[in-house]
Amino acid sequence: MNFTEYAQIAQDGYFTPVEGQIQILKSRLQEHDFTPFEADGCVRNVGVILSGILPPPSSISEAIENAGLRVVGNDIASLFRSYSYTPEATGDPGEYYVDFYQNHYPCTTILHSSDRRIDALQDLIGERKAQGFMFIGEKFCEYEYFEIPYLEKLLKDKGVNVLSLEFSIDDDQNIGTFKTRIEAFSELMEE
Amino acid sequence: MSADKKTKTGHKKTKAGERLTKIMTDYYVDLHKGANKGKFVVWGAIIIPAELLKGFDSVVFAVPESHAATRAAKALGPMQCEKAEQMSYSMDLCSYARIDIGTAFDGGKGSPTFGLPKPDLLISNNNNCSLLVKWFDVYHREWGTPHFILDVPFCYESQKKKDLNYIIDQYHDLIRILEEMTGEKLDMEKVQEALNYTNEALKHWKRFISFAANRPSGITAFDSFVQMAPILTMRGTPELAEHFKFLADETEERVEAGIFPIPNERYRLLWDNIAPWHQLRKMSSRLAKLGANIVSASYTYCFGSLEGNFDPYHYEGSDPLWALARMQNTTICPTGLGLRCKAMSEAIERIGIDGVVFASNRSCKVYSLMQMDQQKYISEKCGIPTVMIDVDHADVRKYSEENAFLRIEALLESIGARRAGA
Ligand code: SF4
Repeated sequence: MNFTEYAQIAQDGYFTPVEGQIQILKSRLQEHDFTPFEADGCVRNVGVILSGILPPPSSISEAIENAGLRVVGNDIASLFRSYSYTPEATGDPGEYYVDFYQNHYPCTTILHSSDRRIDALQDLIGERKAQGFMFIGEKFCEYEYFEIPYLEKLLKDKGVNVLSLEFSIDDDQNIGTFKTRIEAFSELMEE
Repeated sequence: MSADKKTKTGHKKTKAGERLTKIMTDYYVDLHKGANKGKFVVWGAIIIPAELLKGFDSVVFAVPESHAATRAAKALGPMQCEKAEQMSYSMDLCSYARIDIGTAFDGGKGSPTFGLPKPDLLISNNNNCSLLVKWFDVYHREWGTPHFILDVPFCYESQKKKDLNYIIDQYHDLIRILEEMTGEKLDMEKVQEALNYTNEALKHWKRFISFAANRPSGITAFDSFVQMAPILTMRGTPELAEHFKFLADETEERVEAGIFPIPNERYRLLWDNIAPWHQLRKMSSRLAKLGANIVSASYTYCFGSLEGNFDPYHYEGSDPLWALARMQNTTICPTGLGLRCKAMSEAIERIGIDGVVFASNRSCKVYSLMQMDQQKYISEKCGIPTVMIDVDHADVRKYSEENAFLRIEALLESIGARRAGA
């Protein structure tokens, strides 16, 4: 499964009751063939991690994958940051949510988790052997805006290739410039 | 010589205006001197319990938001913002934050106060504006300065006992941290004394802004914008109490003597949002030519009041931490729509307002987000004309004077038409 498809399934769930989400996921698991994804014409295998609040517009995910980049992980608030940790069900909703927020994967919007974010990202990059990190900036998200310059500098200092892009919700047009930047970013990295 | 001095609002500088310049200059000089002598420097958000810090002789207190406003009022906003933008901080971030980050990482260059001395501790709270927590985190990361975040429940109604206790528990943590870091024991009597000064100061502040109800008004909101600086930086000090007494007394004398900022006042307006710092003189003089006076502002009438009340809050008890926890619910930003509307309706009635200027602020989303609903409520409930204009409180690049005045003039016309039809 490629990232575009994966993100689409997750996004379909945003507005679906939980029972519906379970149905969708079950049927996708049944019908899916789990051979590793190869993008059309993709001869390279360069791993990148995407970071942001929402997944990028699908045309951008496609552009990333068609540029020969493989999304090997994500640090997206509505994806990995949300499902990375699930507390044990104890029957006490209060306890559940205390655990949920205390141990939540570090997120720009969860103020007390900021300090853990740097280590968590470095671990994620190392674990997934990613060569690049792409910030999918959410227009007007000030939480993200404050962290991106620092993280960008820090990752670059550690030799990680970084690309920062910025989109508004449903911004699926005028992607020409973004495509060019993504292709140039991909060419920067060795397989 | 002093009689010719002009204030930012375009009319002659009052004695309180001159006094303000002096106490603010002294404040920044003392801050730098204190830091040079090795005092412990705290940078805090505007509604953290400043009085608590007065319980430590070794602590000096700086307020980046107020410092940013000072630079914006001196037309230095864009220059400092650009420095932050060059460091990849987005132009869509609050301009106070950009000004401050730009100044701090340029060693205070371009600041009339030579910046702020580097902090030993950052204290923020998340009910006024969680963005500010992220802004302080920038320094926490770049400089390694510890950052204490007060987690204060947002206020939609009168503060609940459990919320109050939750805040007090955090104050105890803060006291412990300050004692450990400064090596000094907190003196609670000094905190109580500081609270008394703040209460005294706020009593006179309320007296000062009440002269807006006079016809013509004894003040403009621009006067209150300029005079509010020490509320942010000097709470808990005798200087603040003395200054606001002086300010209220002088305003009273002027009103009694028939001296008014806009003697030919025909339109009495209310301003909703942070002051347009880069426009104080321009906007007030252009309004004056139209016979209009912005007599009051939600930004300044909220100080000293709690939870949608217009009247001041008086604490009668003897527990300073309790009083300080209650005061976490002052100012506009930590309160919900219902409370904002309640305070504004009361202000409109008590001061006698003809129309409201809602200034949608590109920088301060937390102040601006509810304004469309509030505008609808006020127009319907109070039956007075209102208008929405676009501003940015500190970045003039995001403000168009002509667009703003086109709307303000339309507002004055509707007030006129309403009177003609009455
Ligand atoms: S967004 Fe508003 S409340 Fe927050 S720091 Fe900026 S001006 Fe202050």
